[in-house]
Amino acid sequence: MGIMVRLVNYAALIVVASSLAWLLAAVTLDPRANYAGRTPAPPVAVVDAALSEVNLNDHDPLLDRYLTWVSGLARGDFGRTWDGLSVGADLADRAGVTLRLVTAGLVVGALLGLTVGTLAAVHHRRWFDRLSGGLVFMLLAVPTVVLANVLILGTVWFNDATGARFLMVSGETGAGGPFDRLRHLVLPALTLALPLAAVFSRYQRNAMLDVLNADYVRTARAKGLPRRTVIVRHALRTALIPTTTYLTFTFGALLVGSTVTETVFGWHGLGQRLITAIQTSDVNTVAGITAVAAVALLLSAVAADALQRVLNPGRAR
Amino acid sequence: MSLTDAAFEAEPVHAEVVHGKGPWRLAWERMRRDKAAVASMVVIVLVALLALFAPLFALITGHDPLTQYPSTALTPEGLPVGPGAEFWLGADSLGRDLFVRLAYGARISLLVGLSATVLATVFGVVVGLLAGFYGGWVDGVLARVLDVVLSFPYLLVAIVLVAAVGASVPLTIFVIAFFSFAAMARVVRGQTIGFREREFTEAVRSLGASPLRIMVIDVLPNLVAPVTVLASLLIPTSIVFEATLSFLGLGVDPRTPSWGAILADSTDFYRVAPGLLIFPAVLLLLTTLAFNLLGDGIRDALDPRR
Repeated sequence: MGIMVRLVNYAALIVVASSLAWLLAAVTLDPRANYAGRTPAPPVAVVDAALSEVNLNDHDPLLDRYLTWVSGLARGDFGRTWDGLSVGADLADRAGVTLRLVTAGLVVGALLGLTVGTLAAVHHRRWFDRLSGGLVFMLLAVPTVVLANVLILGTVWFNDATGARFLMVSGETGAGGPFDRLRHLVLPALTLALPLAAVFSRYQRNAMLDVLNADYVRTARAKGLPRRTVIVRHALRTALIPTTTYLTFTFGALLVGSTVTETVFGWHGLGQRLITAIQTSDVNTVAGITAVAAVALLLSAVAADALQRVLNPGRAR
Repeated sequence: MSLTDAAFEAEPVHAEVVHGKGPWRLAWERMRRDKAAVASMVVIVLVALLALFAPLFALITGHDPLTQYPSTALTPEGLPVGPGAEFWLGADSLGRDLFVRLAYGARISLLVGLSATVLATVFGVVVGLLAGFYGGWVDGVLARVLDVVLSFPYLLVAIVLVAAVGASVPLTIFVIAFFSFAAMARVVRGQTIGFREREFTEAVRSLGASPLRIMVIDVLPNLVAPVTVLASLLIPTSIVFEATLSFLGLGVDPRTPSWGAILADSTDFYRVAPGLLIFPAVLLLLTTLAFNLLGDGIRDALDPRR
């Protein structure tokens, strides 16, 4: 399949996905409820006008609302929230927060996973391989909600016991400054990084084991190159290809996959916004986040594919 | 008596001791030697017993999972009491019995985990078989649908759907099954394409067998091993999914004692009552770990070459 056909396919997939999300949200959510608890109750006409203003009025025909939303989207306008704020600006803000978190988690997780996986393969069936294998299995079984809360509990105990307050368990920033940001970042980034490291280390270990038994590695050893050089220059380089591809793909999936982490640690990112948007029935925000997530997922799939071709031209289809 | 006769008479003696063992029997025997698999089976049985006898525990302790017992469960300062004779694992912040709630939570976890897996497996096998067997436009349409499901940010849709229609156990099961069936269908489709061209399907086809017969009688039995392995791994995924949804307040009815909801309740109190966090966390971890290990054991037992 040509790359252009593929991109067109993906674009169609994105439009279908976000339209489905918009329809689902528009049919099931009830923006009117935001006005229900008010005393004195605002007149229906006023509520209608306010909701129509932001294209959320369930008394307007569904098709009209959909067309308004789609034509806005075609111009890059994501619509408005129920209280009249721009969804696009809000999401851009929050995408930055999520991006910081996901990047930190992915970098730490990748480095950790690649190191552990490579070492496990080099020491195949020795104690490090067995120990890391067991730990990975444990980590893969830990649900994110449990991991996040256990990390918080451990940190709180540590802070209480030592009187130190290095790591912060909630929020994205406190007093400000790069150091303050860092100590807020450590725990949520670890929550994302540890399961990723577990998966990456398995991929890397398998890839490395395949390569270590390959003829060219044996040749390199046979011509007298030091073991370390062979492992790093010859084996590791090749073994990185499948893992890198997987890593690129993961990036897209994580953009919304960090919902739980963001919620537990009080980070105001895309994932957490999705939940608050549902609570306030912000149809346009829900659809917007779906669109962003679908774009990210498919972009990273394309990137992973392209990377695969560049790194491994022999296997290109 | 000639030499040949003697050999003939000796034969039945050996034949009595030798028993044929079917593939399932062999797999079961391999599994029984796998310590991790046996340990995980024990854990799963214990969790199942916890779920089964939840009403019995409620009877013994005299504590209903939903009733609050402020006079006995809370200290004069209003903090939950720790583990003891009255409350085996302590009380939660509202004065309910944590142990009884966890036992009832095991029911929800197992119910959701098992039914979502069964639904996803049946649906996935049917779709995968049809797509793989017929190929052509049927495969084209079904494969595209699977693409959409797999590329959709599924947690997001699950959250929208559950939040919109209202939290309930059947909806949670449906949502989890819907987003798990695609992985199953993919695997089944791939395997079916392989079997479609094999000699034995060709043979029955030339004998005039109907497509349905070929799919169900000839292809399906060959898929039992991969499907079993994948299904056993879907169970822990579904249990975690349910716990996550309930933790976010989007799973089963928030009053129902689900492990995820119990975890969510604990987050404001882990300083004064760490047991509120630790006990459900350990239970959830043990259960998912056991199912994962069991799935691995099944894979090893069914595929001894690995």
